[in-house]
Amino acid sequence: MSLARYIARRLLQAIPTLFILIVFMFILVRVLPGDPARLIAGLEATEEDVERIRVLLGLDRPLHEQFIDYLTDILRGDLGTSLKFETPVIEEILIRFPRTLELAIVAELLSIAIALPLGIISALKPFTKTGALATITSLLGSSMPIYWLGLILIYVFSVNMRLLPSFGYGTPAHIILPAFTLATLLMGNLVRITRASVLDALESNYIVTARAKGLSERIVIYRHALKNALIPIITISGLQLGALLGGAILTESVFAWPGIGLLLLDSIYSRDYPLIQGIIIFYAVILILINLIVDIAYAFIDPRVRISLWKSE
Amino acid sequence: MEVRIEEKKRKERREKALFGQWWRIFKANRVAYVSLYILIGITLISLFADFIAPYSPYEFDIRRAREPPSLEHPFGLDEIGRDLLSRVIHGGRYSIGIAYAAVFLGASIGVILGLISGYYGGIIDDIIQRFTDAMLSLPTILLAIALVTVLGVGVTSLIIAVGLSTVPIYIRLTRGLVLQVRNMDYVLAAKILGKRDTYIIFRHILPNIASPIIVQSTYYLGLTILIASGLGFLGLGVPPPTPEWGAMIGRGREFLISSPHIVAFPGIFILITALCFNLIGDGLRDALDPKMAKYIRRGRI
Amino acid sequence: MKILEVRNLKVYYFLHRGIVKAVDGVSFSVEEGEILGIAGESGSGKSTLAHSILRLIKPPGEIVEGEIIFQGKDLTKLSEDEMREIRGRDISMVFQDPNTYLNPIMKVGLQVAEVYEAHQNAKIETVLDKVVNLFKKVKITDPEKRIYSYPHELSGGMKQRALISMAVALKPKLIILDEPTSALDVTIQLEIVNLLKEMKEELNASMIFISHDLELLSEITDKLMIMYAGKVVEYGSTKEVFNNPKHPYTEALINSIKYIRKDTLPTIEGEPPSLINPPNGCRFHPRCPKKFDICDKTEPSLITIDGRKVSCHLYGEEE
Repeated sequence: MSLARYIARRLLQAIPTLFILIVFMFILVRVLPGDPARLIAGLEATEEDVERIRVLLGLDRPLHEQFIDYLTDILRGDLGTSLKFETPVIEEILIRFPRTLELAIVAELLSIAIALPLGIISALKPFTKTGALATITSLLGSSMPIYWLGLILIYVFSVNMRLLPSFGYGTPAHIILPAFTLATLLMGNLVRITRASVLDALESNYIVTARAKGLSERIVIYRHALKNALIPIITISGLQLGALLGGAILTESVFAWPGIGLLLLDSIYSRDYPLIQGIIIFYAVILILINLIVDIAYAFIDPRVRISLWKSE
Repeated sequence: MEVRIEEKKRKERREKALFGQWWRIFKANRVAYVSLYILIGITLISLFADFIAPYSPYEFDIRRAREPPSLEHPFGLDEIGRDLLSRVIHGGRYSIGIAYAAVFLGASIGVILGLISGYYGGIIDDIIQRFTDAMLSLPTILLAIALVTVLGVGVTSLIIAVGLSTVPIYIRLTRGLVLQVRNMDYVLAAKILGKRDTYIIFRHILPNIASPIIVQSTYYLGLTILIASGLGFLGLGVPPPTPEWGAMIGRGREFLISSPHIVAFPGIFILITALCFNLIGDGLRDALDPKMAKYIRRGRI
Repeated sequence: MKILEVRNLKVYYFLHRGIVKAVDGVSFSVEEGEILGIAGESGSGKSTLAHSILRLIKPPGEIVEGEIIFQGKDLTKLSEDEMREIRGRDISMVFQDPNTYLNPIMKVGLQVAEVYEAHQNAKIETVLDKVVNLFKKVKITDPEKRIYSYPHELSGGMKQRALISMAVALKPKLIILDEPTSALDVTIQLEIVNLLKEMKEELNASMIFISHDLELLSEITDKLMIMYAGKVVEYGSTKEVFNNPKHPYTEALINSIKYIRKDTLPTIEGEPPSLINPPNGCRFHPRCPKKFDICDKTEPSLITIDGRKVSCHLYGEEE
């Protein structure tokens, strides 16, 4: 009951954020020096072409009128019409986005599957080989140009070993390399966060109590330390999904993965401004939603938040 | 007068001692220390590229395009027959230079806005924070792509785009730090003495929050190298024939199957440089006051 | 009969800055059914001492020397598994801050039930009725409901009661109380102390009661040990130590509580010494009102005088 109110309040809070982003995009295209219509049409376009685009995009009308139209369109879910495909922008996005989401989720799971054990072991046994491996993973993860890693992986696994397809979309084999590439983006941070929160939990006083009870070390670690450590890990790895959607732009370019990132790049190369704008606004909406979902999930996992939240409202 | 000079001297001595301690802890971290030297080396090589590079980075011989590494050309030749080693050496200028300039730009704007936001609070703070929230809801690289799309290709617009995309992160960091020190005795004392706000901000607050910002900037140097070269890779960075590392990979990728060296070498340099920045950042962070260190996070794309 | 005897115990923390000698050669014993009070300022090593009896000291801390004889066995020589059987069953502990010593994401009743799980191989769900009885015993209201509460839903006093119920569940021979009331409101402190006394009577257990509240200790303990900078300065029957303190530090502590409300730390001029570089000679000499020439040169040994132990040059050397 009050959970619904909590969600409603969080949704309300998201409105100004989104509004600022929409204004920002509007200003970015229109107020910056230069003629957007000319920019869109390209330097080699004729004056008539430029004029045609100007009218098509409504750029010939006063700014405030343009803004109101732009805003009402967005509120109706209308992100405009693609110049290149001549179809509604939202349609293009809705075809492409599930593929990006698929890639991001597989990458997220992959990075959790690798980073979580590494981080936990390195916290429990810092001076072992696994501990060293965790340190290296965490460093390489934060320093890796993932597009380069993707190309190297293609060279090793597709060109040399002929094990996996180098690009495209469709079979499960297609997702392995791009997902691993994208997962690298998260892995560094995730190993570090896991290690830090496990160490943090192990330092806590309730661990002393658990030991003083005579519980076995296994129960102390699993039931008390790890369960507590998982709360920040889950929260943060959820928030990282946003970073993954950003990194997906690079990954999709490397592997020709036909998702929203590749669509964005195509629209940039072909100066399809309505499409560019639409994709960025769509990204913002999705990311705000992800943050919201993570917050709610957090409230579910942590009884402290859950109860204080649901009682106070 | 006497007293004031004495005080100044004492302050200098104390600062020197503090720096000495910092430096000692930093030096004790061998990995960070070695990384610093590698990075200085890479920076110097890029700076003096004209003297160090064995060949011109622009002269090409299309007949010898994509020749693999040899004694004559240790990194081989690129897709149109330019010496890859010379291009990588010259490329450091762009890749590292852009990172330094972008972080400087982003930090300057972000720190000032963060100082204002944290120090004054109230409505200014609210406005800046809503703006920051909005910008932070986009991944940094997407923000950079959006900006570069509007600004067009080129070194300057790349610096501006990448620099501006780090502004919201700096605002968040600085504001948090300011809130930590805003109610410290020395700030309150300065307020009671009727010092001007700008004096308090720049003489009392900024020096006390500078070190975490420096550490954070070290991490962001690593991050911006990745972002800027990523944009270069996507063809949204500097225009050809500029030898920027990311762009070199982007143009070499077509020949990955037959000539992987064109892709491999610039990437290794991006990786090493970013790695150095991260390791130096770790060393600096450990040398820092642990209370402040918790505000610092390594960046992500 | 002695239930616990600690001989020359040394517990050091090995830090980058140096070695912190938190407990530096401490000896004492606890008789069956006796309450031993340990008092001292923060940083005197009393809490480290309490934790080291159950071997709960974590690196960089380490028991470097000494014996802890409990029922004829030296605890410092036991394997980790043997030690685990003693923890919670034969010796239990109640900690300082109930807010942080309970797992925040686990229901309180289950946390208490874990004691049975650890020592009686019982499944947690099957012993909940026992936990309800325990909660009744420590006067937690509405125990059937409370076992399903999370720690943050309970008041500080309730949390401490739950921790006490955990400590008495298996009727241990010795209960170590590490400042069990100092994190609580004054009114609740008294209730908790009364509860502890009741529990002690019922179980006929021995207790080590650590506190900086000398007045409280003087009321409930049989023997009193005063610690300063990791060492014992005075140790004897509570009545005698309290009424006729021999060591200048004990005297100062007792004097200070006469003027200050009892829930605050007694204050003495000067600061507690560094445990990395303790002062030469007697560790208390920089703050001692009665110091004389040899105090900063030689360290006094613990001598027996009038049936109690004192470590002070004022009373000469033992023959």
